[in-house]
Amino acid sequence: MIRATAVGAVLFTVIVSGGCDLDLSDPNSPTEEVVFGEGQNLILVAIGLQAEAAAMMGPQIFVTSLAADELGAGSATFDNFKAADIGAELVAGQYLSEAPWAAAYRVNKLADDLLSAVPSANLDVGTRSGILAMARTFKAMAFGHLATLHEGAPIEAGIDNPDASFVSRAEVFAEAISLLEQARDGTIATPLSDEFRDDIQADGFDLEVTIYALLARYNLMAGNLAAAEQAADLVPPAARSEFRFSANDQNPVYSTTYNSGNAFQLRARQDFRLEAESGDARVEYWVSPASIAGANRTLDDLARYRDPTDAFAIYLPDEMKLIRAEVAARSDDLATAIDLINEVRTQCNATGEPAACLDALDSGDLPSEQAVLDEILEQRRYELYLQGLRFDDLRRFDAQRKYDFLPLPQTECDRNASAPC
Amino acid sequence: MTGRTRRGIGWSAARAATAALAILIALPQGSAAQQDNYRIVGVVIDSTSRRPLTSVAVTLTAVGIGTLSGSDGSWALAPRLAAGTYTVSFSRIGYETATREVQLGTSLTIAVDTVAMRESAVQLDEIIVTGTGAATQRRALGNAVSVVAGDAIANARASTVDAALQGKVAGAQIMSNNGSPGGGVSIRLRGTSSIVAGAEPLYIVDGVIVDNSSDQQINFGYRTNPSNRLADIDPNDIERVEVLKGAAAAALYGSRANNGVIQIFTKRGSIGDPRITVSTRATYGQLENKLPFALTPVEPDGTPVTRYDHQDLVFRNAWGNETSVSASGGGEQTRFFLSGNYNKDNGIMLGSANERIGGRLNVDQTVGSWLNLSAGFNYVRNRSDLLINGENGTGGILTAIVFTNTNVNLAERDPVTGEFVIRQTTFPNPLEVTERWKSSQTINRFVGSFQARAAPENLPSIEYRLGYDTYGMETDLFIPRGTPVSQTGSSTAVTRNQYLINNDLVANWTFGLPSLELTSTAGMNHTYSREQTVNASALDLTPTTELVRGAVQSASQSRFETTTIGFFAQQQVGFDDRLYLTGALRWDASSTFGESERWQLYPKLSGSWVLSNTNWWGEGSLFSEFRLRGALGYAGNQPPVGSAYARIPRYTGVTNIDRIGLVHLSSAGNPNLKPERQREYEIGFDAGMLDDRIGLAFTYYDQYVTDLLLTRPFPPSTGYASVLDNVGELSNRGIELQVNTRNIQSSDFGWSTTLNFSLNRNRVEKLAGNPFTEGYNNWVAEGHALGVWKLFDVKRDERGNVIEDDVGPVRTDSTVVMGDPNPDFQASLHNELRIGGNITATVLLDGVFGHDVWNQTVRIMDIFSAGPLYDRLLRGEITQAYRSRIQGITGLYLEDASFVKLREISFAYRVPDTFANGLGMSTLTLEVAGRNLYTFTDYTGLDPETNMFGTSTVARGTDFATYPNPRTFSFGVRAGF
Repeated sequence: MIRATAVGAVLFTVIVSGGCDLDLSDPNSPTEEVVFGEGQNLILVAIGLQAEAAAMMGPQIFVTSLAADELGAGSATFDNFKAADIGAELVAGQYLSEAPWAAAYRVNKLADDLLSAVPSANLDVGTRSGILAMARTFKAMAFGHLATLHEGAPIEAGIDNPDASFVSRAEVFAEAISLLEQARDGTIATPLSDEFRDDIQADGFDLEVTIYALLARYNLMAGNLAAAEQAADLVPPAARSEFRFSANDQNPVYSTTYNSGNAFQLRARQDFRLEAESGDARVEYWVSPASIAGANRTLDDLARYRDPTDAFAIYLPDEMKLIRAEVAARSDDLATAIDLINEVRTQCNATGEPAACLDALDSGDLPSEQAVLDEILEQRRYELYLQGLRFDDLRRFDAQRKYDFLPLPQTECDRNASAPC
Repeated sequence: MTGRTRRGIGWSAARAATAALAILIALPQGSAAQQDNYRIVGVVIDSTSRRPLTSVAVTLTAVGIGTLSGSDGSWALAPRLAAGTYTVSFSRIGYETATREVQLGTSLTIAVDTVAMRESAVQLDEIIVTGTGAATQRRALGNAVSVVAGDAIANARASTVDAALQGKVAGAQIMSNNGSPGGGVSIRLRGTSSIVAGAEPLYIVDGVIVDNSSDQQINFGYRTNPSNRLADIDPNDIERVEVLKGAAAAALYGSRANNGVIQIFTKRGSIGDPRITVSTRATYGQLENKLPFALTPVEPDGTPVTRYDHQDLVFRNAWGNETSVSASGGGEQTRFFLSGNYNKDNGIMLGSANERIGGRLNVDQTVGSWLNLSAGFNYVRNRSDLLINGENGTGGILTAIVFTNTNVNLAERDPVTGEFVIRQTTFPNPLEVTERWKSSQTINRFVGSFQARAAPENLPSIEYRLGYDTYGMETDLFIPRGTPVSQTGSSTAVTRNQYLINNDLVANWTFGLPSLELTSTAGMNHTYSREQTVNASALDLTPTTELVRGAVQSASQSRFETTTIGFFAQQQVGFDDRLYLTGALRWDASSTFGESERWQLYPKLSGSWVLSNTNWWGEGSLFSEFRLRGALGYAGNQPPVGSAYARIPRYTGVTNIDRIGLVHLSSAGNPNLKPERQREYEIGFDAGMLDDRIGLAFTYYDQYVTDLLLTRPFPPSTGYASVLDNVGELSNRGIELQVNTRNIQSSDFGWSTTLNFSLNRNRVEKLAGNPFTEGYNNWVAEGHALGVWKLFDVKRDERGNVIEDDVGPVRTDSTVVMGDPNPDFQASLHNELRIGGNITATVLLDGVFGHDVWNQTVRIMDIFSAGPLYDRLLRGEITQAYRSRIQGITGLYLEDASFVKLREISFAYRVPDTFANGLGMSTLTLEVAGRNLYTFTDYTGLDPETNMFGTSTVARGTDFATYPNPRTFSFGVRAGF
């Protein structure tokens, strides 16, 4: 009997050990352990981060454009979209702020993954430098988006910190700028490898140029005029950096507008066309006249982002000129400001960017600082339509606007004990 | 399968042969004095009708060798034993257990006198298999276990086992969600114990855990597969079903037993000449009720128009047939049961059908005096032509007609081309769909088992079991070129391979002293499952092909594996046949749990006190038998298979322009994931009155589930949306009552009745985050039962009067909780009659009371100009504005769906054996039966027993274009040779 027991036990062990592993791994999705354990997998995360960063543009654009005066709600399906269109009070708990918030923090989480795993990864030093700079740049862009929309947001957030504390938007901008400066310094100290440039950095995306452009943009928004001017100067006029898309990776602005599966059906507000200076060629660059019955008003068609593979510029070249013009105007250097405004106004025949093809103005047309600033705001409206900047512009120039800030997402309020809701 | 002793379950359970065989046979024979091969034979009959009794378990209790009596009541045992006195016991569900002493001496063949068994309403001696291998008498159990005999399942004339259990188990809510041929049943034992991890019980066939999933592979409109995989088991093969309803009874199954356990035992061979049974019957199905279509022959403006009742186009009367052949028998060493069955069900909806072909071989082999080997092989091919219905209008049959104005003539064809004139209304013409689309599902399944049991005298018995359940399931959807929804056609084929393997090793030891009996059990169990799905689809099909071949092709694959290991030990102590105490522990680990929570402990304690066996119990008492019982136990429920890896933080692929990258999944990994944990206690009594002619069993239970799995939302600043976490709590409390009566017992007439009553109250005790909606309007909120209805009601003033404006009633500003899809109580009444010796009849009434069903079917008909409200508009009784108003008050479509169904009627005539013998048969029985013949209900839809969401835990009671349960008649012949 003892033999029978022993034989039984051995037999059982043999059979069981065939499928006895309690630490089964997921064959469908790579685990964090696998991803973090191999440099080549971190390269894939860096590529994924670029996809998430590009996708983050969609919600940021549609929410800022609705909350400013660029897009109107084409569908009455969502109450808060109708409300944001006319500037009515937003209903707590209804979807609106959620989308850009969640998208920004997905980028933040992926960037954090890379920032923690890459320094010790088995990768070329120039590749590590590139991935780290890229992670910091997109993290900064995520914070820039948050500081554009809200009075404050967490900058130390993650799975281990579900009750992340909030800081003011000034601190959020400061963190974004600091990240960009670290990214800049890192790429200078350790030049990017060919592997990074050829195999990681997406086609059309230029990391170094993006760092300077975003430094200029966020320093301006944060009120650091000299730093903004200095960074804008360092962006070569001919340089470009953009997110490109494909049939399997669609333009996120298209996804929220013309993609038939989307219920938002956002379209251009007609006052953009109707209030434009006569002869401004940028109007037809951006919109096409139409009479679409929206939720609150009649709307125009967009002329851009109608195709799912249209690229989205991370910055448009003339944004840098208008940043420099604004810095000059706010520093009492009206002549330089007017020169820069005229460079934008008189540009004709540009490719891949809007061109106004208007007449130049002089100090008679723009006699005061206020007049110059008003003109800069006007140029930004037509040059930088649908770039996610107008919501901050209206606030920065203290122009007539529907909202100063958007309410925090209800989902964050409900689940984060530190959220100031 | 009833012939088990307290010593173990030797000869009977089903299991398969491997290397263990050779090793165990090679062992030397156990000790023992001079042993001889004896042969013990006899006949068993019913004491009142004096007819032979079949399926009586005849067991040599000391050694655990048993057999079943044949249809002529004869039985034979062939033990190898030393001379001496031994006890033979005779037991059968519904009868008092009898025992006889036999003397084994010099004569090697012993004939036992005819045993006449007495019917009884109380079954304290019945043998129950508690799930560990240690069979025990009911009197020793502290918890209620329902047992359903194979006859009762066969008499139900249902095509699936689960449907055959309807109305027969107190405390089980057994709902046929869907009347599609091929089944579609959900079972809730003592209420719903889970939200995300499934609430269907664990099924065990002959000791082998089998899959009962109902995953939908292609969207046919039900959100789950219309059928569940228990449909692969042929009800004719079943000997007995035991139902363990909650944690107290099922604690030894550990982290899979929260929802209870249903154990199925199939028939096995017994000693004797081969006995062949042939049974065949024809079935005839028809639609029981009709939907109230708008047929007033005018348009709303008064213009005359022809209106069509589109139900007449898609429903039909359907014949089917079912044949099964079985052979069983064997000798002293080897016994077998062999069966084959063919079942064809042409559904009552156009284009639906199910065909099942299966075979089973159960073999038992005795080696020497103490080793038994058994093996079981079951193969089934189950093919269905499924219909799209429910919420999927594109290709939906019933769905399309409820969305179609009755002024459309769907049947009209172009006289030249033969094409339908109306090819599409809201959805494609259902008649064209049934002619040209193809949606089928084919299952090829093998369930095998092997068991080796060594039971040497005076030593612990050891049993090893291997179980294997594997199937391939292919679901296809073909939409031809040139249909209104797809000019270029599409074809999808989803193939799933399921594989489940179990290993069990159990030791049992019984030690008897005067007035004290100790039974110890220890064992371990291992389960591994693997599920792989390959999904292939094509668009722009190659002309004329129906396969997945076309200009645009895509494919994907997924795989889920789980492993569970458990160890258990149980000690039972019996004092003098009157007081029993049982304590048990199970220690469980699953690959689905986080590493820190991997091992889980589930204790159990139960007691049974047979007062009527105590000295002070009065002889002339009203109660001839009485016992009190109570049990407390814990069990668990694992995360669902789709969340098999939810403990691990994971990434997924994403495309950046044309490169593949990785991003994290939006649900975070939870390294602390653990099972849902149920605590259950139950107390009750079993009583026999009037000399055991009345049996009463009453149970009160209280279940509390903690660590309930829920999707806990994360603050989005973490970068994640949610995590699967053990954060909720819910409870079920209720009572179960079963009353058996033997009303009349004489040689000319027998009448017995069973009444089942049960009541359950479910309550969500704790959630993480906000209340949420499942299905369409099933609301999950603390303090309410799971899935209560939250709908718009009519607005009322303080005095309760309906507020009306000039259009009609005004609806509430927001949705309010209005009803409950869970029944208030259930009751069933089962009568069995025997007239003379040759005629038996059964009638089963099955009622469910107080559950509310949301009639979205009729609401959609009203909205799409086909329903009764629209008919009132046509008759000029209401205005268009009133109609729109009513359609918006969703709660007006919530109906009390209480019903009583005439669930089963059967009538069997056993032709006098002399006549049968003249035809070369030993027995011949003619049968007429009906199932779901009539429904007493105020519900206005097709069938109050319905759920579009299938086996869903929370989304219950939604009627939306679901296939109704048919009324079925059957006419059959059963012959024994």
